[in-house]
Amino acid sequence: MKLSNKILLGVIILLAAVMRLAPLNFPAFTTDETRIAYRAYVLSHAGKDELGRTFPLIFNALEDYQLPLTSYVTAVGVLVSGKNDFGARLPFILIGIGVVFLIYKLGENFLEKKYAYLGALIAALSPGLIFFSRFPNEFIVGTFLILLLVLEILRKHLNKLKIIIIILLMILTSKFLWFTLVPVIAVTLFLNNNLKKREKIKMAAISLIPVLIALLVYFKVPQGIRSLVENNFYFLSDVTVKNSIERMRGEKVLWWPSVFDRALFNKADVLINGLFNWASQLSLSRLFGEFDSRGVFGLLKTGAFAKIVLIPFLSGLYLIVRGGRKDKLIFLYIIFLTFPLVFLYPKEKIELTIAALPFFALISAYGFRLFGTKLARVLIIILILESVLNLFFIKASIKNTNDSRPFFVRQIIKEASEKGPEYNIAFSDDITEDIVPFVQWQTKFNPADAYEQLEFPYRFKQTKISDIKIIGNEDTFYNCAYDKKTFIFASARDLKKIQHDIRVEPAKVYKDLLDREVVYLMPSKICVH
Amino acid sequence: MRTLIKNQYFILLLIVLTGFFFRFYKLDQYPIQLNHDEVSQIYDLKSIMETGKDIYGNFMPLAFPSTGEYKVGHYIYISTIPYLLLGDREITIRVPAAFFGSLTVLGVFLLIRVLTKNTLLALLSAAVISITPSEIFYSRKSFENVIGSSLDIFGLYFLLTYLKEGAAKKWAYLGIFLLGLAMYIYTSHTMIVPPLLLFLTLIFKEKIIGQKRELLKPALFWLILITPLIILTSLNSDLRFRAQSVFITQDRALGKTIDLVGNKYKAYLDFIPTKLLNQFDPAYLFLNGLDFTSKSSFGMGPLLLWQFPFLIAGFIFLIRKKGLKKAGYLLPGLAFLAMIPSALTFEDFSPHRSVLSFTMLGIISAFGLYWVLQNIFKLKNKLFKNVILGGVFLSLVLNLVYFLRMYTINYPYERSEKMHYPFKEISLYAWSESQNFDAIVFDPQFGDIEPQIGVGTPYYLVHYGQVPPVLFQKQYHKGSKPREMLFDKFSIRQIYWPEDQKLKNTLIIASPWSVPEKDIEDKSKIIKKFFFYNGKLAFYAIKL
Repeated sequence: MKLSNKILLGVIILLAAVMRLAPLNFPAFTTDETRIAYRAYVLSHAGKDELGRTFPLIFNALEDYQLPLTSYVTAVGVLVSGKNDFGARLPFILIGIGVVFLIYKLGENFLEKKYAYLGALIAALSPGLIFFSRFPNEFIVGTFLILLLVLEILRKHLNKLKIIIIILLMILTSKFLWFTLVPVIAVTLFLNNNLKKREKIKMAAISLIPVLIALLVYFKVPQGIRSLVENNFYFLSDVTVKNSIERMRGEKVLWWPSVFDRALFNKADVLINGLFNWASQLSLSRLFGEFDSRGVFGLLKTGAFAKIVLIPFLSGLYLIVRGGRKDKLIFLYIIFLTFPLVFLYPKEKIELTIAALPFFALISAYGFRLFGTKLARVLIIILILESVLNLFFIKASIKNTNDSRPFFVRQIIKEASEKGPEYNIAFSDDITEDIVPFVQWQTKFNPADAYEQLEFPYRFKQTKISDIKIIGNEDTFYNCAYDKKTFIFASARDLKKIQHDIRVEPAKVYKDLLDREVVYLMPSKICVH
Repeated sequence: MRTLIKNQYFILLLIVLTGFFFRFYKLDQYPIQLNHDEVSQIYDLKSIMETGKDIYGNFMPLAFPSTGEYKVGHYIYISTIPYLLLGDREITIRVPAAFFGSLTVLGVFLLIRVLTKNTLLALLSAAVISITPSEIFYSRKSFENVIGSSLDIFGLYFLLTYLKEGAAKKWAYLGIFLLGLAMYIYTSHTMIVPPLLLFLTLIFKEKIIGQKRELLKPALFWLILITPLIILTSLNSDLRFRAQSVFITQDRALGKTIDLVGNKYKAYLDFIPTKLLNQFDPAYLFLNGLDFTSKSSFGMGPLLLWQFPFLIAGFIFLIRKKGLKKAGYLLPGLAFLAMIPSALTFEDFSPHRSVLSFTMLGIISAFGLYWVLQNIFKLKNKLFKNVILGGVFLSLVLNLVYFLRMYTINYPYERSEKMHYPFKEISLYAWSESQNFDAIVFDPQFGDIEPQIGVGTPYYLVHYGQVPPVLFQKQYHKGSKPREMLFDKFSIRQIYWPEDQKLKNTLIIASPWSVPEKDIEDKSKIIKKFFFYNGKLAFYAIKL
């Protein structure tokens, strides 16, 4: 590699690092991300998870079981940097930067060198990839491992041990990877011209074995099958789908032969909807418009890539469609990495498309072939300007994620932790999705106080930690009188309940980033049953 | 293949007839009732035909104040022809859209034939357009965009006949004339046609540069043609009001984005391209874009699900096939351009403003079908070939059956409220009872899930009461009560039950939103109930 090329790559990597580090506190963590961060802390300091289980392989999350790799990777960061957000982010920032480098390496395999740089640049500035490099999540880890695996299989001589280790790591990262792994390996083996057919078949078969074992083991886990049905084949369990079928069939007129209705409205038809659910999440609108309209996993009105990348992307598509057969295999990667979205209908899971973004970046880079140097330079300058501009307006995205990534919780928890031991503390359970992980992560909480010793907690939500009360819908309030004084951090729901029974005004009101009143600190004379 | 080409005009006739069939068959029954736009148009039409004025007494207005939204009036003026032929009937107002929608099928054939010189491709394109849901759906309601789209397609055809085949200059003038006319018909086309002409200039730049002197006159002709439009739009505040009231600046989501970003220009930069790209969301195009159902897994998109793989194949075909370069630019380019009006209005999606885009996407899917069929016919295994052909055909039939069920059954069930159902039945009933009461009070607040105001109420009453427009123009006036409009014995207004229940010899028509059933102490006073198409209670008539 020439020195100038090394410098160029270095600059791109540096740019990737800057984009992933600035600003350091964005985005605030969701409930599940906070839980992973806290779990990482407990794992790195006590060798247990937040429920007190020693080095487990299956963790707990609000909606599903969680596979272990992400938590252990986070633990490394927390071990290095301590119990703070940066520590939890650090491994993912590094992995995100690693992804950019691997895209460059992959580009070298698929395209000419200059387009490999462009692919890396587009990835370095991709809002989607940047976003997922800033918090604990399995998706960026999975993306990194997929790229590593593909590169490893594309080598002249296969290092089977390395490949198997990567496969095992992938299996420990995400259930979705179990389904995508084998087809991805098959495509990559097909692309490797240095291997004999027999060797390819052998390798594909080897890759299948750990997946089958993982599935078998998972079936043995209590609620394992339920977890798969509810989270990986969502359309089978979704009530709205069932209701829709019944409703459509129930809407009748006399002249219509109802014999058709079973064919027209059934779960197999819903799978067609699933296909569009999938296509929709890979559409131009997600890639270049707005990646996540829910405001959980992306910047406000910003796609997975900068908007200007749409132009080289369309050119890239044009070139690939016109090009040879092998070029088109790049589409297969995108299909195989994201097809589980079909079965998640009507749920959106835009996170699953992250693994396909490197391939979109390469298509876009390839599109530059159609442009002259001047136009290419103009596009690159606009790309950088657009990315920098987005950085200047990051506050808008912070506000946009206000509900899913509650920044305001930090202040409440800080103030709660400052109250002396002579007071009880209580939080309404609807302040946010699940307040417990925030309390655990942001206070000097003793992990042993919340150990529950549950073996396989599926969709488990803690409601009591140490002497902190989590106020549920059924709880009632009274004047403490001789009972221990309590500071209640009440939601609007509980404020209404309190004021219904007791004439009292909040001692303090907390607002969120949208300047809405969200939490009310009640005077310590109010207690909760 | 040769047989097909040999009998092309017979096949074309069959396709056009199919188009006419899907657009005209039971046109008076589906949609199940005239919606508030249609009923206002038919009565305004009658008013214009009989008095030369609309219901407010405006002489031949360009924009009809109608129910408050200032409708561009060209559709009403075009409808004078079917009015003369068919008279004052419900179907009269639907005929122009159905007619031009059917004509589009022929236009597509001509356009694709001149563009590609491939008769088979042109026949397939026309066939696909004849059965495309958005084409059928919008042709069956009195919708001016369908006419605009048809004029665009014929305009393009004549222009291309001149540009590609070196035909006489009159074709260029005719093309320009039709494209100019489309700009008058509907605002979407006012926005689309200028960039379309620019785009055509780019595609045919060699030809145009070579004949720039010759083309100067048609260009001037176009400018002269649209000058009145520019003058009228700038002088007529009603026309401007209509455009401004639906412009993207009225979009709440944009307002929210501006609030979050804190910078108007950055918000526009982020918001508008995002909204434009949203219009190409596959789920919108194929699953639910026509909004037939409410919160259901089943819906209907502007295009058939069946067209999806062919649409992708069509794009690939356009890119790969030599000799289709100009079609490869024009069709996707126009599909993109024609989505811009939808992206620049206040709703998340405005499929009714994107009809031309759907037509282009439909044509591209026909290109894909052509390519796929070509490959199927190349197969040597006869059984395999027939199985695949059968599969393609069967899936089309199934998808068409699905569309027809959705359109004729599920859509009325789920959306009858959108069509102001059962306002026709109520109007007929009110007139049948009018002799028995001193006054009839009608509160048009209604709704299946949430309340809305039936803005077309006076139009329904006068249309189904056969009230002469000249009489209505004199009688119709504002009252003193909230939202009150008065004519004849009718008072259309908000009902305040504690007071209104004291009225004597009055027929009250109200929904449970205005007068909850529990508040009516003497239930025997409810003399008639009116239901939505899905059987839920919509209104009752209360005798006082």
